[in-house]
Order: sequence, then C-alpha cells, then structure tokens
Amino acid sequence: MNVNINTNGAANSLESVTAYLRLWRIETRRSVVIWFLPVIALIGWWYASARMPYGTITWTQTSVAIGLAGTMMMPLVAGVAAWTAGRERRRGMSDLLAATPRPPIARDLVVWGAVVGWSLLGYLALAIVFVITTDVLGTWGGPTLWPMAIGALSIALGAALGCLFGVLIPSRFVPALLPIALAFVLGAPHTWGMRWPSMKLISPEAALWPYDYDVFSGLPSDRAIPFALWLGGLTAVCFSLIVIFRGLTRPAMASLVVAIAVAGVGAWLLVNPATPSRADGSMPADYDPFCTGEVVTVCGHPAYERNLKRAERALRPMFAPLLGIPGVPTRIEQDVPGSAETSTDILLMQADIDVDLVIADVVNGLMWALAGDENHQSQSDDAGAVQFAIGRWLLERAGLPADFMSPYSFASMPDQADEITASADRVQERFAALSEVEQRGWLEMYFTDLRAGRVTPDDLP
Amino acid sequence: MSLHLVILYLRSRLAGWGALGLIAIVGAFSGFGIMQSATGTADTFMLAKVVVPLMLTVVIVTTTRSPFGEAERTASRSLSLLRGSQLAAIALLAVGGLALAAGTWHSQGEDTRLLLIRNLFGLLGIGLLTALVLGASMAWLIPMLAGFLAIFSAPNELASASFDVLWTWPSRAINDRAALAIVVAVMLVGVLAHARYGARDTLDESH
Repeated sequence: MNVNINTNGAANSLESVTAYLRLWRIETRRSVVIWFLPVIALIGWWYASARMPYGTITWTQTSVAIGLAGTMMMPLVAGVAAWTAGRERRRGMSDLLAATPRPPIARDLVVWGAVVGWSLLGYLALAIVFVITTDVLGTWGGPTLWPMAIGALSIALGAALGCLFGVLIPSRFVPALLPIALAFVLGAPHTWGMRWPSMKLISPEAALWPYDYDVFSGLPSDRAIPFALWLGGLTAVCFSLIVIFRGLTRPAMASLVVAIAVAGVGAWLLVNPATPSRADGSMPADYDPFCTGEVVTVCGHPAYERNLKRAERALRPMFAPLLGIPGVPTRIEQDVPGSAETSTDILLMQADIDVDLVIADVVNGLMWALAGDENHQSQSDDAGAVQFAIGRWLLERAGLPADFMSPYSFASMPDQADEITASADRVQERFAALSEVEQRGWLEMYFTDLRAGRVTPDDLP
Repeated sequence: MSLHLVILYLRSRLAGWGALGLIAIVGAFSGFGIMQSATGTADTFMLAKVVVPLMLTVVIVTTTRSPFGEAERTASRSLSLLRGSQLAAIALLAVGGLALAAGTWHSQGEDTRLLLIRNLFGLLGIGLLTALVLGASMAWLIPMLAGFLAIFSAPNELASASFDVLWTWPSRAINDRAALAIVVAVMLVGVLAHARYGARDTLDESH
C-alpha cells in the first residue's frame, strides 16, 4: 500500500514538473522579450565594444567584454520583466487566476524563467559575435568564465527585479522607468566611486571596468564566489519579497532572511576582499614566450603569436641590408610592463598593437639606442636628422610610408621639427641615390656611430 | 469642448500620475544637484543631462496611451486638439520643472538649462514617433536606445573608443547646430504626427 502511495506521489511530482515545464514553454513562446531582444543585445554590444582596448584582443579582454555586455543588458531585461510580470494585475486578471490550482509564485517564476531564458539566449548570441569579431579563436589561452558568469547573473537579477516591481506596482510607468533607474545605478560608481569606494567593489559593471590587467597577469579569481553570492542573494531577495506580497508570509520570511544573509556575506567579501585591489589579486600568468624567425628573432607573449609572425615577415626586407653588420641587434622582444631589464642589443616593441607600429618601434630602437644621454641630446641636431633619414629609409623598405615616423620622435622641440624634416629629406635623398653596395658599405662603417648619435650629414657621400 | 470632457480625457491618459511622476523626477534631479554641490562629489551631469530628459520623456509618452482603442476615434469631438493640448500642458510642466531644477546644477560650465530642455524635446520627438509606430506601451524603447547609445558613445575618458556621430547629439554641446537641427526636426514631426494620429492602437493597447 505504502509503495503505491509513494509511486503515486512520485508520479504526481513528475506530472507537476511536466505541467510547469509546459507552462514555461507556453510563456516562452509568447514572451514579449523576443521583440526587445535585438535592442537589449545591441545596447550590451555597443557598450562593451566601445570599451575594447586598441590593438590585438586577447581572450581575457573578450571574456571581460562579454561580461560587461551582460551587465548592461540588465536594465532593459528588468524593464521587459516588469512589463510581463505586471500584466496580470494591469489587465484585471488577478481574481480569475487566483482560482487556478497553481500558487501565484509559480506563475512569477515561469515569467522570470521565460525572460531569463530568452535574454540568456541573446547573451549567448552576443558572446559568439564577440568571439568572432575579436578574432580570438585559436589564440593563446581560453575564455575566463567568471566575468561572463557575472554578466549572466546580472541578467537573472535584472529579470527578478523586474518581476518584483512589476508585481508590486503594475503601472505602465514602471517598465519604462525601471531600466533608466537601473542604468543610473550602474553608472553611479563611476561618478561617486571616489567618495564611496565600496560602490565600485559591489557593482558588477565597475568590477569589470576599467580594465587594469593584461596578459602577463591573470584575472583575479577571488571575486567569482562573492559575486555569485551577492547577485544570487539579491535575486533570491526579490523572489522572497514577491512571495511575501503574494501572501505566503511564514516560509517567505525565512527565505528572505536567508537570502539577505547570503547577499550580505557576498557584499562583505567584495567590500573586504582577501586581496586589496584587482591588480594585487592578479596571478602572474604562466606562459612560455613565443619566438619566430631565424635571422631576425621576434619574441613575445604567445597571445600575440599572429602579430609576432606578421611582424617578423614584414621586418625581413627591412633587415636585409643590415644583417651581418656589427652592432645591429637581431633580437626583438616584447616590452613587458614592469620589466627593468634594458639592453641596447635587444630591441623592444609593443606586440599588442598593429604590426605597422611594431615596425616603427623596431626602427626607433635601431636608430636610437636605449642607453646614453648622448643619444637624447642628438635627437634635435644634425645627427638626429641623419637618424631620422635612415629610419625613414628603413621604413620604406618594410613597405611603410616615410611619414609614418614622426619627426617629433627625434626632435625635442616641436618648432625644430620642420627644420629637421627638411634636413632629413636631403640626407635621405642622398642616401637613396647610392647603389646597394655603397649603402651597405656606408652602413657597415657608420652604423654604430649612427645609433649613438655621432653621425652628421657631412659623413654621407 | 466642455471642461468635463477634458478632465475625462486627462484621466483616461493617467495624466495626473504622469504629472506626479514628472514632479518626482525633477525633484530628485534637483536634490542630486544640491547634494553634488554640497559634497563636491564627481561630476554626474554628463550622465544626468541624458538620463533626466529620458525619464521625463518616457513618462510623457506613456501618458499618450488610449485605453479605448479604435472606438475613441469614432467620437464626434476632434481628438487632435485634445492630444495637442495634453501634450503641450505636460511638456510645459516638464520644461518648467527642468528649468527650476537646473538651477541647482549651476556649477556646471555648460548652459545646463537649455541643454536639458533641448535633450527633452529631442527625445520626446523620438518617443512620439515611436508611439505612432509601436504603440504607447512600447514608446519608451527607442528613446531609451537613443539615450543609452548617446551616453555610451560620447567622448568619455572611460571609453577607449568613442564615436563623434550624429546619434550622440544628446551628449553634444548646446551650441552644436547639427544637434539642434535634429531636435527641431524630430520634435516638429513628432508633435504633428501625434496630434494628427495619436499613439498606435493595437489589440494589446485596448486591454
């Protein structure tokens, strides 16, 4: 007999779950959020893409951008959820639906589930677009999940806030005003964060932006669990308040207390982090430098492998007349932030920017050795004009226009730029008029002095 | 046109609640201005000059919804005059409130009062045109999109990329002629279209 009862109970539970799923399916098919989804996703995409750093994008930056887009989708998701959740009372259906066997909170959860389901689908589509447009597939590393999870949790919280306000205040003004108010709340840490730093620590958007990390240090992972507790707890608070409003006071009060406690613990952990700042919380990323090229070796972080390969190919014709000349550095390394090691035998470049700018960095390094005050003094004199002229000649060999190199790199005073440019034009003209053998011979004789800023236009044939 | 008819019309549009909403928004805006002056906190005006007119806009366009649907269009009275008058009255309230509240933001370098009013008119024009196409219940969507895009795209030290394109007009300075031309055009078309046709009546709107 008992077995039969249990079997019936299990069958009833299964039937109940099936009924809920059926209800959710109907709600999802008819949800108004489908019409809003392009606008919601567009706002998220626009916000995050405007904050993408210039140059080569890495997985870390893409992961953070996806998370940022999710946080900025939250306000409009809240507005749509408020509109959907308020329709029951707005259309005078409360009494009719009160006669149905399911508890009211079940309907609210179904509304929330449908809004979250569609919004997460839009979020997923947005993430795919980001991954494709940033061209990170196949590059070093992989996606970092927790920034993206913050975006998803923000969407879930936005839908819960919308359901709460929609149920409590079923006015047609609420869906319109709630997103703006939430957007203002999200933007507040950037304006008042200096006065109340805690705001920045607990805001999901401010936790991700601005970026202050790079590929040399991993994202701090100690914010993941506190944010899950904080945002998840707030979502639970919203539902507890809805249940209290619906009349199920006793269990709802208990769940409200638990939810507030969970959110509070999350907020406390965020405000009092184990590591005082994101930078301190970052872990030095473990990586093996990527090097390419046999004659000229270009080395850097493996995240920039494509850039390094392209740079090495572009540098080959430029280095051809210099190879074998004593004093010509043939090793080029990425400039690692915080690294104090400098050597005139190694050229430094920024691998995270365009290949053209990498070449400009290399030419600068070739013409202007890093050490020695003497070089600094020679930038704006006749010697600087020769360095500038040969540098532009090298740039042209790499396929870049001569004016890609600014005279200001060599001129200390802006008003000297025109004079140096005119002088450099004459020197470059004379040098280009030489045969390849003569150019090679001159470079062999003068390269070390040229780099040290000791060659004047009179030294040219 | 009797006073009773006007009152009934305004009640059907929730004009009273709308007016209260406008007063609450400009009151909060004024309070933020006083707080900012008192505490010396960072500048929030860059955000507020778009957000506050946007909030006023969504309240105003929400009050254009008719609860009667197409049935109202069969009435013998001309609705154009009623629509236009209601819009003028509520917009006047918003402009007056903004003008008063802007006084608390005097520390800003720009002409805050004119800037807020310009943005209100521009966003309101967009909202009225949206109501014409999508209905009053969704009329907040496009002004919100316009406002958010303007905030996110405006030159900003926090954004690595910003776009000096026409849709950033709410973030542009008061002496920007292109922004002014957009506002005048959108507002004129919006007001005339609203007075003539009103917000779109859909099946949903009639419920």
